[in-house]
Amino acid sequence: MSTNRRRRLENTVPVGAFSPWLILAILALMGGMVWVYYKNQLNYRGNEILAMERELGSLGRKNEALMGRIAQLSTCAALQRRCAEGTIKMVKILPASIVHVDYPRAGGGKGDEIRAVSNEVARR
Amino acid sequence: MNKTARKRAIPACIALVGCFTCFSYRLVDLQVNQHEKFERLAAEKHVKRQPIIARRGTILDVNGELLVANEPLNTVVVDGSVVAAGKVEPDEIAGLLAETLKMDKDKLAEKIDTARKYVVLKKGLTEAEAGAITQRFAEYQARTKKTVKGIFFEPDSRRVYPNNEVLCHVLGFMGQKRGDAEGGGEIERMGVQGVESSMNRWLCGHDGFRYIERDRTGKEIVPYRGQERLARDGYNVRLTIDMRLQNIVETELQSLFDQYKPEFASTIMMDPKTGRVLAMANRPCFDPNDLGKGKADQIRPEQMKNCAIINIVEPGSVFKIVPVSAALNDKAVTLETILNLEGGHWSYGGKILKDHGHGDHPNLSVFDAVVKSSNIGAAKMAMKVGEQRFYEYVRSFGFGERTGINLPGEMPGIVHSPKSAGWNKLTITRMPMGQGVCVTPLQMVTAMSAVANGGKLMMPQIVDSVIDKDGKPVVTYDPVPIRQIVSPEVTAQVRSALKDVVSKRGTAPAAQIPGYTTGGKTGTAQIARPNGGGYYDNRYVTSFVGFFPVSDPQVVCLVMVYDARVGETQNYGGLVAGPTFSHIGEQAARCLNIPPDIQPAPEAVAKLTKSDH
Repeated sequence: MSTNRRRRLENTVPVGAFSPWLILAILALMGGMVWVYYKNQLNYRGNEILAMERELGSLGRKNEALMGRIAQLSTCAALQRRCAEGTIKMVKILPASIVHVDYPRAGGGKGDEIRAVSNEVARR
Repeated sequence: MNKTARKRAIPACIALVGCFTCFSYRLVDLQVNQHEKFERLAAEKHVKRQPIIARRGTILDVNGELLVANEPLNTVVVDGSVVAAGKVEPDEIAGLLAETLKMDKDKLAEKIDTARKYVVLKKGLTEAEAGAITQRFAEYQARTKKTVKGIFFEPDSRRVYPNNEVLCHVLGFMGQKRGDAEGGGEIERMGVQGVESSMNRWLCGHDGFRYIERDRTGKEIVPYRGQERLARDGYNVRLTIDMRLQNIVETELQSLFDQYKPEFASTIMMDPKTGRVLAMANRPCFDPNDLGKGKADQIRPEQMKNCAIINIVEPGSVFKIVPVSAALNDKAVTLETILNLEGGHWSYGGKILKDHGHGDHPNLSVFDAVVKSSNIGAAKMAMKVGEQRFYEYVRSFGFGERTGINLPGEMPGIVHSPKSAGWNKLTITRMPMGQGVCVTPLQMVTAMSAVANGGKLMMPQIVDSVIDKDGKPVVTYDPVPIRQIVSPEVTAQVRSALKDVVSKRGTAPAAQIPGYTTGGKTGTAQIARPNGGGYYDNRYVTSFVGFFPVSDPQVVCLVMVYDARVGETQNYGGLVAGPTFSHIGEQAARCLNIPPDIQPAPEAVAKLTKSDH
């Protein structure tokens, strides 16, 4: 018997006996791979959540900044300044456009009559 | 297996078993015996308690107009350990940051090249600036394929007051202090003055936290998030202030302040039926957006004082509403009772009490004594009521105690009791005319509100409600009647007398509001010298507190001016404060859509109609 043949015979791998272990090993390997896959997915989704949280935060902050800016631009003082600068204009309501739905109530005593121009003397 | 193979296998197995035993022992040693030590080390390196900052609530006026907003800002922070582990040199990072941060590039590189994990590069970066830096980093990455690591933005914010000086004393401003008593700990922001301070517990919310783990590059590993508590944002506070009225009051008060250059001036507008403060303004004032700390034009403390609730002054004749109400309520007098005014000079308690400015000083009825603002008349009315009883009335009107308004620092004023050392023989003649008693402008307007609403003292209110972010009320502040001081019939009589104060024969014709029946009382009080040194001859507190329309008062307004720079002949409440009251009232009536209750004179209508065409 040649040396090679003898070695082959003596070192025969008993596949039948090993097969349950082999299957277990393959299952363990697959389990490990699935675990790694899901772990990666978890990290990936986590990063997506993080990015989404940041974007939401950023949008909220931008919204807040704009709200403050709008408030600053629409205060009475700001509007008056813009009116003085001529960037906005007030439209005069003509007397013809005013509908009088009621007359002022009668009342008051002597000397209570309305003056045409209020407190002009005091204002001067 | 033959013998030789077995011989070889045994040592190999022993070696393997020995090896695994060693590894297993080490594994158990690390995982079990030294678990806590290594867990602590890992936590120190990777776990961080990340604060979640609560958003501070905003402040709105009664119509929902935003009075205080939050401006998001960013703090740029560098983690030196992450920068060192990255591929980008500190010099390069500094080059990318220097322009936006407006800092010297070399100094910036020096700061970035550190072993420390937390170094603040700059605070107060706006969202736009932070966005510009992120954009630069992205461009750099696209150009060089290298990622800038270790630079973080920490969210921060700043309070913005869109109306600048308007309503500054009511809103207040923000300050900061260390979290614990020893001066260590985290910096805590808190309201310092105004509603920012009094409503701080509603506005501030509760910060949250989250334990996070970070990887080698400093990035958060989201699946390993630990314990967390979400932040609860602060509630919004809605005030009773109406900005339409506030703007009217501010404009008129500024114009008065420019004209008379007084030491201070205050105006308060109140709804007498509910005690709700519709407008409150003081001069001097300040811009809470720019306190100018450390600058030459730093805000002075007196500018920050809410004079309307802090400054106590001797009110002068406006206080006469108290003796007349008391005397009428106790039926000691009627409006027609004639008072002996002693010819305008009354010697009592070794001192002379004088009346000013009504001719040869004839005896007057109670009605006319109010209209002409007779000092002797007021003293006689108080004397008819009696010392103790008069004192009780003064206290009933709310003087000598805090009104309870939801603003910090309110002063109670000073009212001496007849049993105290501060009350002497002269007090019963001086207090009725507003001397020897110190009140705040708010107390004065609250007392006049009681006269205007039928005798009910209302607690002044500045906060309407606390609302959540959806606008639903969490707490609502309803009107609080404190006590019924005098009967409605008495207040109707007092109002009828006060109505004539603004007529041509009264002391304040300039306070008349065109189209509306107006009532009110003038006050001109000498300013007391410090340390009881008598009174200044030419320095006065001039005031006017009035209401309209007289038949059903909707608005009470006080204008108080402390030491107006004007000639002595002009320094009277009716001349200094009266016109401002009139201008404010005229615009406020239009704004609140209060129907006029005086029929226009035919010639005035004709004139107006003519000018229309």
